[in-house]
Amino acid sequence: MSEDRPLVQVDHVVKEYGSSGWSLRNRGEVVHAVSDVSLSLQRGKTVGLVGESGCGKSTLGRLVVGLEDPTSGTVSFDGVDVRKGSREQRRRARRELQLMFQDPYASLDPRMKVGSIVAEPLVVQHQVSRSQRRERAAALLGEVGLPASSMTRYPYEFSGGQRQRIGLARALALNPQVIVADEPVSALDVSVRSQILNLMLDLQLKHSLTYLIISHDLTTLRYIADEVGVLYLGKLVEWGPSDSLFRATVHPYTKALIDTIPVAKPAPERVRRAIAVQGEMPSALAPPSGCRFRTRCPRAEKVCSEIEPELRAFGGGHVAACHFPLREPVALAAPALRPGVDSAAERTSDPKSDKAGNTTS
Amino acid sequence: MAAMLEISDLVVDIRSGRSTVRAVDGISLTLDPGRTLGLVGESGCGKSTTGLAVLGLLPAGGKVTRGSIRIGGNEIVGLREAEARAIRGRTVGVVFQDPMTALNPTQRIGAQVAEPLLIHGMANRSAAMKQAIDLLGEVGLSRPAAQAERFPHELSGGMRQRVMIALALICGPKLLVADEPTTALDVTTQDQILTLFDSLQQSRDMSILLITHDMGVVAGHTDEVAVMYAGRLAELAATHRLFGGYRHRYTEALLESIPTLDTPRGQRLATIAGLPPNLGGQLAPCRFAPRCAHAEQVCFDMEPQWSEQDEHGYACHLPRRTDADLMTESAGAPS
Repeated sequence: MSEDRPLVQVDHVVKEYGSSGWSLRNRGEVVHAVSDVSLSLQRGKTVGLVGESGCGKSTLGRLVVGLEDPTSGTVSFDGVDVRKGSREQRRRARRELQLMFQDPYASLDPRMKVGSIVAEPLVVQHQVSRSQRRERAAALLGEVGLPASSMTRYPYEFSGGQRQRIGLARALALNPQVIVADEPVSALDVSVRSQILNLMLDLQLKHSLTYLIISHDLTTLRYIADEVGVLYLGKLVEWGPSDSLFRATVHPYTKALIDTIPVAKPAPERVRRAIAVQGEMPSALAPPSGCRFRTRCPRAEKVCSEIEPELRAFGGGHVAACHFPLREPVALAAPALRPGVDSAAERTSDPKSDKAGNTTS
Repeated sequence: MAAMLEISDLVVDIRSGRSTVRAVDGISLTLDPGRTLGLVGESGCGKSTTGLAVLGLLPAGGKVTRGSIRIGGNEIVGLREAEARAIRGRTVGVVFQDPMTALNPTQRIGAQVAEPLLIHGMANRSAAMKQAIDLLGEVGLSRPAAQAERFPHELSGGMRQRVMIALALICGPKLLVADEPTTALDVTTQDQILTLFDSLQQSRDMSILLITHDMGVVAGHTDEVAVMYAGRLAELAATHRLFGGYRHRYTEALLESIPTLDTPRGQRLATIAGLPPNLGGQLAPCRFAPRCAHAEQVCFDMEPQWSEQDEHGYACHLPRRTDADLMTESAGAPS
């Protein structure tokens, strides 16, 4: 197990859904949920995925943990294709990749006691005795800051934040290496959000967890993620180290997302500014030709409807797909940055820069 | 100029089974014509209940037990429902969080938007439909005449919220109550809807009571802010004054627990310990005291009084000192 190999590698993944078959009108139409996305998760790091509803970010999360199979492309864990490996390898991948769900009110079975909810993955994956399971469930609840007495209570007795802790305990039950968290704090009150985010950071350090955090909230990702990917209508449009993505934004869509964040800062008076981005995301049934963002983009020109922009390198593992980027790409991509081999200062790079290098040279 | 909305010492009790919860406990607010007041707080702080009391839509078992609500100078507490409705009727509009559940799924949107005009006898059928289509265009639906023929499920969330706004505005209200109007929307759509509120307010000279949990939304789109905690008002001030020099320790804790784009990555966030109190249980004299990092004995012994200076009010024994305070202190100190 080489240390420089990404723990999870998503390669050219495509996910398409056939439109509901009973509707004659829509028969044969295809929803392009995820279109040719590649990314990698480095051991012990946090990757954030951001985008509007319908951009494919949740689908991508489900593909990573194996709840969905890609239409084409591969997801590999520790170098092994999670669908092609041996039975044991596939089983291991399922164990090592866990999902933490968004809605703490819908994702816990209301008729199960919390102890059973947390211990259920143990039943599914191993043959461990009932008493061992109870012990483990109590320990897990302790880790997420809930008393062992929670075991015999039902989900309705807990607040949203506590339920999210239960969801986290369940995700940790099998000692996974990777946790995919889909909107882990969106449903929570502001004062409780920071508690959950701190807990997730603590657990990451303690168990060297690798996180893929899916959120529509850029501020949260800016704070918690090492690298952030921006999805638009099934496409990865920008990817880079968190600081670089926010300070040296390349893609007009990312810029628009950043500009629309409501900031809780003192303003001398109510400032009226232009709307950052007009209109809505087009339907994934018929994505626009060329660049998918062009229909809403202030910089779009003719070429944007004709040629699909490729991901290009902007230095430091920062890549973006745009014909008219907000800053100039690296003219000739440096020798491909090998994920994880770079200096700590570089933090991580991206397999993309490799591919992007080829397209620009 | 008379206030558009004046709430004083409002108390709302909600009875369920044998227990009664005091959801709102002595709130006073004033909203002037053409202004926006943000009502912020966490779930269960009473912000939505306050809005529902204004609208006369309190849930079963909910009752205004004390205080007064005046809309355009007319008292509505204590009136019979029909009389209160005559006052609210055309004067007050409402936008809720979830446009899917608030719209009738079986009725075309044009007919839904036109309906209040027919109910209030303000127009005949064809004139009402024409007004509805004009208004759908004004709130940002392209090709409104064609859109009016569609059903809610055929529209995106953002478009449905625009329809909700048209429905709220069709009778030309002077007061709009918007309860988490953008919480279910994406940030880009939220930005569009909030900007729409701003421009509608200007063109129609309307007052808006904006109920939200999002301090960011409040900062950019209100003139005044009221922060609520556990049924009480914690702090009330002009928006720029509040963000420039918040005093209440709850406001402080709330603002500091939000990561901003400048928060260093991975730095631990300030948290507020514990959970908001159960309003049915025993409450500390200062309701925030059990979770407050600055609380001292006095906070558990005595209820903090409302103090107000330069139209900035708060109820806290040990308020945060602002930069201005620190400056005065250092200037007054012997050198």
